[in-house]
Amino acid sequence: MAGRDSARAGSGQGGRYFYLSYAHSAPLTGSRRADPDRWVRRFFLDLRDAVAFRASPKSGLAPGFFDQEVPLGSDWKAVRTQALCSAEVFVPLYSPSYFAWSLPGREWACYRQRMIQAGVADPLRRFVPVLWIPLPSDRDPPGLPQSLAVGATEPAYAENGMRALLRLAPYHTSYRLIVDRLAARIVDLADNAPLGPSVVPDVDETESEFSPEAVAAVFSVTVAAPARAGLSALPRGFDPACYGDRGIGWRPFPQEQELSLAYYATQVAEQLDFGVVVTDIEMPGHVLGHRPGVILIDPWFVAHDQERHALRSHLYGLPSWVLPLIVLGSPGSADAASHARRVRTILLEAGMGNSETARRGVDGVSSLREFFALMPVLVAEAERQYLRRGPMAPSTARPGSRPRLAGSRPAGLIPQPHREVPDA
Amino acid sequence: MGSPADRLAEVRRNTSDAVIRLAYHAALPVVIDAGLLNLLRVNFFLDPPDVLPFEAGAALLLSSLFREIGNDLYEIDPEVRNILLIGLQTTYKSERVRQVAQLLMHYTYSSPAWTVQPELERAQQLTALSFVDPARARSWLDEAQPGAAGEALSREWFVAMRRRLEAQPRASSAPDEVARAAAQLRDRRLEGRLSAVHTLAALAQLPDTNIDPIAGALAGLVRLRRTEESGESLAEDARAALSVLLGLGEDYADLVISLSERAPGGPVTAVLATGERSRPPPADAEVLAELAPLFFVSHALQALGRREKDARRERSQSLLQFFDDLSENVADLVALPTGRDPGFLEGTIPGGSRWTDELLRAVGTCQAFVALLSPQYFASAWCGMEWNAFSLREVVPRAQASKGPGHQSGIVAVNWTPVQEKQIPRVVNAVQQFSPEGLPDPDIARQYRSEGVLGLLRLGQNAAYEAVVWRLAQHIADNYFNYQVKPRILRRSDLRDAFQER
Repeated sequence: MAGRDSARAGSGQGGRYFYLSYAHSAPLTGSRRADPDRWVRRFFLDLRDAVAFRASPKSGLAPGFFDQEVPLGSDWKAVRTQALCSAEVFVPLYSPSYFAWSLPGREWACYRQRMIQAGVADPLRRFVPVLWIPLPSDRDPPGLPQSLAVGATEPAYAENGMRALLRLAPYHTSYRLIVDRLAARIVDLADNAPLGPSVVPDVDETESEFSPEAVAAVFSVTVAAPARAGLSALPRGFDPACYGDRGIGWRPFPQEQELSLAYYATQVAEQLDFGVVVTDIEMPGHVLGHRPGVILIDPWFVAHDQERHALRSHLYGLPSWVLPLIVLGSPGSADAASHARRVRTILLEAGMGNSETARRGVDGVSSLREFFALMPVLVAEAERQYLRRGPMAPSTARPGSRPRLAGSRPAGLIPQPHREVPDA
Repeated sequence: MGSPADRLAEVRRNTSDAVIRLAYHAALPVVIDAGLLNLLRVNFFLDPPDVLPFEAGAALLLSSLFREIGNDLYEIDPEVRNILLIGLQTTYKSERVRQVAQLLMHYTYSSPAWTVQPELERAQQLTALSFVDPARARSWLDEAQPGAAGEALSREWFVAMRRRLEAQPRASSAPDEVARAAAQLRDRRLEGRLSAVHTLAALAQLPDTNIDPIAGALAGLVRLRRTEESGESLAEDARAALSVLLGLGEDYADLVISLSERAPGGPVTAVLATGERSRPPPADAEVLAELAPLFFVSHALQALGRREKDARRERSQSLLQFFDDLSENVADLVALPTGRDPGFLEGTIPGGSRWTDELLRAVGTCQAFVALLSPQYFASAWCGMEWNAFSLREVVPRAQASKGPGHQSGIVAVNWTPVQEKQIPRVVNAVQQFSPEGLPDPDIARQYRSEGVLGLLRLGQNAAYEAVVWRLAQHIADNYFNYQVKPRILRRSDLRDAFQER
């Protein structure tokens, strides 16, 4: 598992040839499938290799940036910002979701801002879009004709998009040809007209280029973990390095994670196109259950009778769109395991283990890797439950879009990352 | 708890027919423990056709058929016990009944756990004896005296045992019992008729019974009550009978439809409406459609015979793979938000019967109806009803659609297995069948036509299969961008088998 040092190294001191920007795919019901973004990963590796093959050794640039290569426990936003600052070319994977979801459009706008601020005469020239999934015919995003020109000799490209060319064996020749042409274009731009790093605006503060009116659905991340002030009351056996000034500062894997677990949960939900509200379960007036969400639970939270009763009353009667996730920190002690058993009992008594997905959350995770594997499944399932069973309001949105809560993206509600480092 | 029929159906759904047959054997003793149940399994369920692992016994003891009465002992509710004993007699004949009784006798003598409970030990022995030699059992009871030498048995015990032996079901077989219950359907008292309906419902759940006479008797009751009473509402016993008929599966769908035809939206609706727990459908169909799955997969998998479990599992694996692949592609093509299901596959809702509100809602709100054609599909009345229900919906071009008008039905007819021209019903023929056009390898379209999607999967033709699914997803997405199928709140009276209209 990557630690903080590798996180820093991963952000790269030098620049990169390209930044790959794409809309994440949500896990579908039952999640019988492995990684829903596996085809993006395959494409990235192919493009990276093709760029590396053509790259000039003198350029000093790393080939490409892809968010799945960011070390799990690092400061994702910082790494992404660093990559946006230093990439010579921006490669967006155009798909219907790319224009419908918030994050890709904000990355696009950030990069364009950087080009304008850096005085690049024609900012769009630094974009090398890829038609990933075919678009409805009324969509005409910037740079699409140029993008399709890359595949002018391959009519299957415009008709099917790059993902289908990669997925379907009869198209593999076309696929390889286009990857090579994209790589040639990227290397040509970077080597013959190098930009060098320059600043980008904050991606969270930037409006999406494509759907500025979009209002994100809101997802809640609730944390049930002790705060540092309450530690003295706990029985022995816990790791004080895990805890922050508030419960939401909890880091169950302090050796591996730079920021709080709630921060990473937020990142995962944002990638699936949610605005996120993070709250401490003990926060006065906090109401669980009026929106889809996940409760991250530290077994040590119930080491005390008082908290155990509190947790029980918080969880009682919660709707099916709030899912629990027990996280066993490392190294797990025997005490932690027995607390975890208590938490599971409380969850099952509260009726929170009724679906297969919920049971996976009750079983819990004991590493960051497991956490990142399960979290998107929980987010998608919570929203799915909410759509099926939650309160319904008439909506005037266009077909295919999700009923959204009123108000703008709740940027003000998203807490800043918690960089709480325990006293040495 | 539920009625005996419900409990049998539930256990059968969650386990297998073989486990129900093990339950036949376990019904003979007064009470049973895990050791005795395992002994029955080892004696009768280690060889084909019914091979059961050790865990099957545990699953049975923990099922709703049994009730734990302490000391690791379990008993069956008398009503269920009678039905199971009828199953034992019907499937395995008297010889097996005798073998089980002897085994019980033997186990009772040799099991130290029971010798400390003399009343139980004696009760088991007497029960076993009553199956092997009823006359001897009765005379033993008559001769033995409470408090006599060596017998630590109370007077209450003797009274209870005498009553139990009198109530013990005759070793009768299912056809006899069905005939008896059918006769009882003409009982003058309502309770008598209701009890007969419940008996028939329970008998229908035995894996080896012939269901036809049961369905015939119940249908007869419904018809009779309808001619007797001209009012709109159907009598309680007829409603109960209809409800049982609905649970018998799609082989009896035609019968149910014919019974409800004379009063559209009448009795069947009433029965279904009282029998289901579900949120009432919101009135605003447009809102509903926004949340609905985009495509609905209509298939005839349930139409396979009850005994083809393994074949069914294999087919349902293929169906699930197809559904997942199509879902993934459609979700990407139309940018569905997180948490919204691209497709609806009937049977994916655990524990649901076929015509749930959720299914009706999905047929009434989806944008594409993907029909997996096969000979079984055309033979299935349920599939015909789904087809008919969907085709009642109006299709209009979307305002921003750039493609010209054209006849669109929203129905996507896919060759699941090869079908012959002459098998295809008229309504299906009227819809243009899907074909994967414009692929670089023309062989793929040809293979699809000759093998069907299931054939491509079975033959390991992955490249062809993936290409077909991709074209299918594009076709669904195209239709979705260009046309809207107007949502419609479907009523059960909209259910007619479209395939019968040739």
